[in-house]
Amino acid sequence: MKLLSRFVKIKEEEKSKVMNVFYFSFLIGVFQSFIYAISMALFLTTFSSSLLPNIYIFSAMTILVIGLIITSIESHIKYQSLMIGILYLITLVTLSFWTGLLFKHFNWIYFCLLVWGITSYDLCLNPFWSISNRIFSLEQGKRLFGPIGTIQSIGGMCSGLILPVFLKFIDIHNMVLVTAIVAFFISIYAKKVIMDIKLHDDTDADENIETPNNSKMSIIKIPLAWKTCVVSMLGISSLYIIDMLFNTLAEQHYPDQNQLASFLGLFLGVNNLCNIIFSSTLCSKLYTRYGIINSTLLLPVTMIMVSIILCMTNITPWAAGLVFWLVGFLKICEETLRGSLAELSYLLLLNPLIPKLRAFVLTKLDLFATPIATLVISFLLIFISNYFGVSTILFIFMAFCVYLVYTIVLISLRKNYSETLNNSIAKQHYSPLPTLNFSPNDVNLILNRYLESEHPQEVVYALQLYKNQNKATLATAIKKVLNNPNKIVQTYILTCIKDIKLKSFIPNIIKKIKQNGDKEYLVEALECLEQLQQYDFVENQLIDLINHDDLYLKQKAITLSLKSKNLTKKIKVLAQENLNKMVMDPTPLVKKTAASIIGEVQSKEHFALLRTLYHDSNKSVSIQALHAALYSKFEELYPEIVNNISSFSITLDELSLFNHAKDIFAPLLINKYKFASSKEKNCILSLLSHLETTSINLFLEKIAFKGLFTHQLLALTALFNHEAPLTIQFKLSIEKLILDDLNKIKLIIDEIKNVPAHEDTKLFVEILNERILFYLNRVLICLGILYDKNSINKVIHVLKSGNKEDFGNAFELIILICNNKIQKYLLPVLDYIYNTDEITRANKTNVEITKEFIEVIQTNLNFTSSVPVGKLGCLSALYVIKKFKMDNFANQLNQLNQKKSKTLKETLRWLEEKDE
Amino acid sequence: MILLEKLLLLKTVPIFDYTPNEILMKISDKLCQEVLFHKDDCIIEKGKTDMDIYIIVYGKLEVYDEYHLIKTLEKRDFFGELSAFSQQPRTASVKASTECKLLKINTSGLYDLMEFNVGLAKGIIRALALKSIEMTQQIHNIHFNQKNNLKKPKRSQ
Repeated sequence: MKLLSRFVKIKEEEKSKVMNVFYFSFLIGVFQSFIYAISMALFLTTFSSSLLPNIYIFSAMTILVIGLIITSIESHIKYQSLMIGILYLITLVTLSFWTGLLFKHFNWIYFCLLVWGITSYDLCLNPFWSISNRIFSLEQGKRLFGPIGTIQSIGGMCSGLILPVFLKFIDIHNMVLVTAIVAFFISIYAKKVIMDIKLHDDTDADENIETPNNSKMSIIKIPLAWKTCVVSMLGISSLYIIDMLFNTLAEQHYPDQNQLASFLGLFLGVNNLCNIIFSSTLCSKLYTRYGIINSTLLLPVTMIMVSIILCMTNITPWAAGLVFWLVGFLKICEETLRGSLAELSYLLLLNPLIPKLRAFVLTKLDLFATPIATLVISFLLIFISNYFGVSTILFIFMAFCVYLVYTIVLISLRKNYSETLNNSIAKQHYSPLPTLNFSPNDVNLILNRYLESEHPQEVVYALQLYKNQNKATLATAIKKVLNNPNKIVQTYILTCIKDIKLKSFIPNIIKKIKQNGDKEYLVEALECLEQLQQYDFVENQLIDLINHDDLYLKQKAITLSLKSKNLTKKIKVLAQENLNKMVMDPTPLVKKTAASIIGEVQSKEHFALLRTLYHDSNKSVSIQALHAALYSKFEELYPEIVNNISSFSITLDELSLFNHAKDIFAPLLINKYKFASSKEKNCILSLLSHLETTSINLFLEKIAFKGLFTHQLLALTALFNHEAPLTIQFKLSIEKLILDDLNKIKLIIDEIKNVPAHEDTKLFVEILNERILFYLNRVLICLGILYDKNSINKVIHVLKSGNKEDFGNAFELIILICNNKIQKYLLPVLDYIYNTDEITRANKTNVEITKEFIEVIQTNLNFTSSVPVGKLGCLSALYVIKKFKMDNFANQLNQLNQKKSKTLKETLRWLEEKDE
Repeated sequence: MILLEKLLLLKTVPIFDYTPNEILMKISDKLCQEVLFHKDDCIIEKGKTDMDIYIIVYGKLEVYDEYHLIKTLEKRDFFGELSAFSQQPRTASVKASTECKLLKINTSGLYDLMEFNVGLAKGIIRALALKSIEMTQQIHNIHFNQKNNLKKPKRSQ
């Protein structure tokens, strides 16, 4: 088992789960081999082989019936119970056949047994792969499904070899009992494996496999699901076409029964061997390196090529003898690729769907798509062979057409697969929302209830909806809630009256102001009344409020006075005087309020005051003035803002304000960048990433490869955020940068592998890992610039969030997005990052100082590295040198000692002291 | 203490579990201050408000609520984070029971760094959540002990 786990690369935490699935898989192989061989032997000794097509049709129909029964009960039974139930059913029916064989030897029982043998052969695979697909992530599936398939084949092979020995001691009828016992053991292992679902997938564990919205037809809305079913059906069709052609040609080639039997036995052996070799070695590598879609394409593309060669051979007289062997080769290719790659691909393709949906589609795939395809192709082949005979060229042409459609469907599936992966890693799974169709009467009833609600949010929501209808309904609604005591509701009522200009409510508002002493309500009401042209009343009230001590009331009153075009000059002068006083006030809070007023009034007359506030010694005042300047578009102040860019922390809301004046800011920021300090450059680049103009893009392209690593990264991030097309030259440079960075990462990974595991090397290794992440971040940003930004954004999020389940989906998405050259370098890096957590660096007491280890330390002693964590890399390397008393670095230490860095000198001294 | 020494010490503190070394170096360099205390010196006083977290480099400390000793702290323990992050008055006093050296970290600087680094924020949230669990457990234990004491039958004399 140790050898097996090393060969298959099983991780420590998945060991028990994988081993249980291996036993499960082995037993499935044994069961399939026993039931098929025994039932076939009993059938062939009783009936003619010409009845076999009928058996296939009956088996397909039995699976369809079982599929219909399962579909009707699946919504009432838990997923786990259903899967175990299917396996118990297989055990019980097999046992019943044994009982039947024991008491009565009717001929029809052999016919039924073979029908059941073929049915159970396929049926037992459904729970097996459904459970396996549920417990493994996409990444695990790509790695493990191949070996699981191999174990299944080995199980089949071993049981096939041991069957003659068994038959020497046990009667063939009693072997049916042995098969039933094997089926029982399968159920036990299935139960063990299903425990893993409960442990790993708590949320879905107790659910049935009904689709999310309880609609059986919802599968149609998921192109990935139905296209996978179509691909699977095409696979079944091609299997039968080639099988029939091969058997017919074999029969013609070997007329002697013994020769034919020997050839078929040998052929089956070669086939199994190819299957085992391919699924255990190449399968996982292909999935991991080229992705699932590309790997699956291997089957139809190979088959198309072989079919073309076959057609050419068939029409060439001197090569006619080769036709049979080429058909044999076609059959081996088909069986091997289908068994080891294509069928596993269908499972993997469905993996990004949510577990519930995945199980649903998989059940339908096995219980409907496969038997329907079998039935259709069987009837079609019977019809063709009866009317046209088994013509090589016709059958090859049919197979060619099927594979052509297969290829087209697979290529069209690429987009759906990419979308599903995207949704999966962004956790936006397919779940159609139920549409609520309320009649207008129902809507009115609900809204009326909302108006009477004690929750202000509900009242406001109802008013919002009425506001969108018409003036009359809104007025009626307002009348109902006019006496609502809640402040939020009252403020929203005023907003509605102001916006829709409902003058009929003026007396109510004035009455409320007089009754209600609340000043906050008063200022809101005055704003509303000013809009409703009640200027006299408003002016009288404003005089008091402008001189009020409360800053909020004062601010509101001054803003209203200065903003209004219809109030008298007297009130405006009073407001202006008060604003001037506020600007000169020593208290920062008063000054900040003044800045807010100027920002809201947006009048050029006040810009001189705003400039004074902007240059105030208090930082919070100048920040408030900056906001006001941006909000009121005070362009004259923009150059000064750009000059002090690094002294403000700009929030996302403010960035949108910068965006209003991006054409003015762009040249200012670009000019400033040339002479800016490092900190200022950071601020400018962060700001530029939110402003998008052609000149900014060209500027960013120029500086993306210049200066400090941080500035380069910021420039690239800005371009990543922008939508504008890039120059071809720049795109080529980006691709080169990606490959360079990936090469650097590869070197660091090699360095890490050469550092011995020890407590004292821990910090050093951590820093090397952080360096990888820095480069990887840049690689992903560059990929976002070159390819689909949204998908890469999701991949970055998955890599940061560290959810291992999503890692596999993110890998697959990258394979779909990037070109082959980048894929080749990127995949090993992602694989390393995926496994970094699991590398347990054992604490060895004796560290061997290898030549490679010395080289790694030497590379990292460069103190002036432009890469972030370069300085830290040097310090941690020094720590390692001193801890392990490595004396190969005398020259480099002397050079470091001559550097001016205080940190470096202190570190060297500290380590020397510690050493002594 | 030199930068590397401070960095190695910070790496042992749970609140910095998810913080990249680069950020830890910034914290060690700019936000950490070494402070020395003699025996019986009061480091934190109950009811006072400040924004500092302390990590013990060496020495032993005692945590008091009024005159009740709550617990003792040793090398590499950290304290003061609850009040520092909540900006509420200190809930207990801390006194040096031997001569000790501490690293004082100002949380206002940490807030600035948190804006750029999720790992730092994550580590702090995790440490605070663990502390909250620990405190809930303590309350549960006290409650349980009180209940048990009430149920104990009085000894007959």
